[in-house]
Amino acid sequence: MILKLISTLLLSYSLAAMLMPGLRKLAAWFDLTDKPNIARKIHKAPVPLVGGIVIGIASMLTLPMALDFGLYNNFGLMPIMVGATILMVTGIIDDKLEINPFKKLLIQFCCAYLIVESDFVLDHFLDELHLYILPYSIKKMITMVFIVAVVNAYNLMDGIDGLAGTLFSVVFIWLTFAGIVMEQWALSMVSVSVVGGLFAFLKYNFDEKNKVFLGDSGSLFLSFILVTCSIYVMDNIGFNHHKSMVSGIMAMIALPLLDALRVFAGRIKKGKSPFFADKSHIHHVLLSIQSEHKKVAFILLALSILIVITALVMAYFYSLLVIAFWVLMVFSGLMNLIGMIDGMHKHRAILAKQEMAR
Amino acid sequence: MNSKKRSLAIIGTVGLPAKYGGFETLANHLVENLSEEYDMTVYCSGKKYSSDQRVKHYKGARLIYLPFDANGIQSIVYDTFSILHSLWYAEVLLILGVAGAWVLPFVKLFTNKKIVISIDGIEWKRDKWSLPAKLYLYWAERIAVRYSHVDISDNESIQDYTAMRYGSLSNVIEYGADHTMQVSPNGDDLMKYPFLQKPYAFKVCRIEPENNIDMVLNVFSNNSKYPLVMVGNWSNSNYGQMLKEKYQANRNLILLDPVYEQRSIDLLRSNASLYVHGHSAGGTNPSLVEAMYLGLPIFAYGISYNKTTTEHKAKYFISEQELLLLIKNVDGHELQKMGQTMQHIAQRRYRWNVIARKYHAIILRAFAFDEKSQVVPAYKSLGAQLLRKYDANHLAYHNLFFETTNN
Repeated sequence: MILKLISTLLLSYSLAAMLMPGLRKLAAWFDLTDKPNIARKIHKAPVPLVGGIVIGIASMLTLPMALDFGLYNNFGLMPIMVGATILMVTGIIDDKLEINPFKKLLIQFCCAYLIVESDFVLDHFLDELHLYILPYSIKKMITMVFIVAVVNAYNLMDGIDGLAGTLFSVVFIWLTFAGIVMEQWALSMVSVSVVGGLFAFLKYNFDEKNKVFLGDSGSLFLSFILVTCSIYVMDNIGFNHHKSMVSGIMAMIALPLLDALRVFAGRIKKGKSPFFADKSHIHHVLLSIQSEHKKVAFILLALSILIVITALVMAYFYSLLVIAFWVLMVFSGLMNLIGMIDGMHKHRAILAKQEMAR
Repeated sequence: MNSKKRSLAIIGTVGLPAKYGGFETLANHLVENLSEEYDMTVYCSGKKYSSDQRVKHYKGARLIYLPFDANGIQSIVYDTFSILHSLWYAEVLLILGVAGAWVLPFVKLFTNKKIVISIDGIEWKRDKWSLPAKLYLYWAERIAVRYSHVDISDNESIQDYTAMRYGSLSNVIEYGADHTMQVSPNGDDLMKYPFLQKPYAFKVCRIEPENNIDMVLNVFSNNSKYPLVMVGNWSNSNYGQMLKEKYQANRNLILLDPVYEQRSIDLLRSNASLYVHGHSAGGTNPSLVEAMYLGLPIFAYGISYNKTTTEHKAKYFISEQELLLLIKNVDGHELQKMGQTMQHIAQRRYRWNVIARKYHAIILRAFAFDEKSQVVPAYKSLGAQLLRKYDANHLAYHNLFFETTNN
């Protein structure tokens, strides 16, 4: 099995690495590039938004080779991959033509609903959090909201060079590992094929001359697979070391999710729409202190891993509810700190203007 | 007629007798002026008063010594213990500085003590603090303003800032300067300080980069119109030592070590022809108001706080070139007039009995009103849609009526 995993990884990586240059050129023809909008974005030359497409193609080609079709149906892989593809296509169109955000949300909700109907529900997970009184239909709705929330949270994380790519890689590596430990090989196969594509993408993402971005397509595609696989892990109690695996997932998803919630709450508090574009995400705030993109991405990565390790350690002593609470508290504390640093910088800028007014 | 005096605790200063800075001088004058109205207790730092220097009472106020530093990181513990101790007897807590503010929500929730807090300058902005210290001060300031009955700023520009950040109206109470006096030099003075016989410029401050000392020294080092006499704690920091080494041989500059005796420092400054004020941090600076009271013309660093203190009637600079130009174009007559103007302002605003009365008035207000005045008008909470419905849309943007754009 391990051998199979390794070869899937290498296959997916090589495919992606091969496709990348070709699609870069195609992107220029189809005008699928990110033009620098100096007000908010940070890069200078138009960059092709094909990272996601390449990862998608590479993983979807490799996957059927790695799995028997029997297993394919068992794991429910088909709805996941098709749903992810739908979102990827939505993403491509969004990258090119800027779709109305409500249409995007509608598509996400429909995909979420259909996936939930394929038995991807946080049933046992919520039971474990002592929420067993809830009727099944409510649990389905919670799952749907969870899916849409995480998908959008990861989408918002794609604000700095290298951030989304590394965060996704870490989660999918963890999912691969979780699959091995839980002996759920289908899960590992899916994750490892995505990881292969991601590694190829990262190579080009960090390359200054032949840069590629993930794009909306990529982040929607990847986060959909991420969230559905996470639901699979979180809900399948009874496997080995389940608590630790779930703790890891929770800890990793917490960062983008709670950051998105904090930013939305902040915007609503100021009377603006939650989608109003301002620079208050955690990576924006960190950028104001430490202006190198790579360092900020690294800090966020290190932070995620640190929280995961603490969650893992706690998993050996405490119940899932306690760990969920702990993760929530740590991240709330962190978010508050980030919010304060953000506020401090903003006030300092306002004061500097006020003080020197003639 | 209520003949029983209210008990007041003054928290956060180094202590009495005053020998450190603005807050200590303030405490001294409050004790002198308000002893009829209040039974006062002042908390002092045991670290700055050795056992033979300590007294139990001073000018009618009781002194309590705590074994902590009043400044720096120990100030958090110092202020906290002072606040907690004062809960046993005081009706009003007058707190100077926000270090102990974290405990105020509990005080406000569980006791009926009135909290009057002075937030000092905008401490969290100062570069002398590390990032964790800045974050703590930024947060503590918010707690201080939110959970006090009355908050005090020492400058109108800081009042603008608190209005913007918190939406509440803080009270402006500055410092007094009438403890200073004009001193005519006698023979001994002239021997010790020969420069007293001719016109000279003067500056007294803590030797820190935010006081623009290097800028001022640099400009005066090349200009021999007026020599500059500067008093400060040069040997206390690398910055100071470096500057002293660099400039001590310069003919136009006279660098003196700290002078603590009131007569001596007044001697040096009341005979100056010009006062240079490079302070760039927030707030009303006691040394500036004292210079104004002594009738000195002022060249001040051009930030809003200094302009507010001098009512925009002094001369201002923000760079070396501007300061150089001011010195070049200086006119003896103009300076004299400016000095008189400064003195009139100080006599009107910066006298200790006026300041003490203001403190008394706001303490009375703390007892009279439970909530602070808000700067944000009530109709702001109605929402833009409702205002539009009643054709009052313009009220949603009321800030446009008074905001200015600075390009």
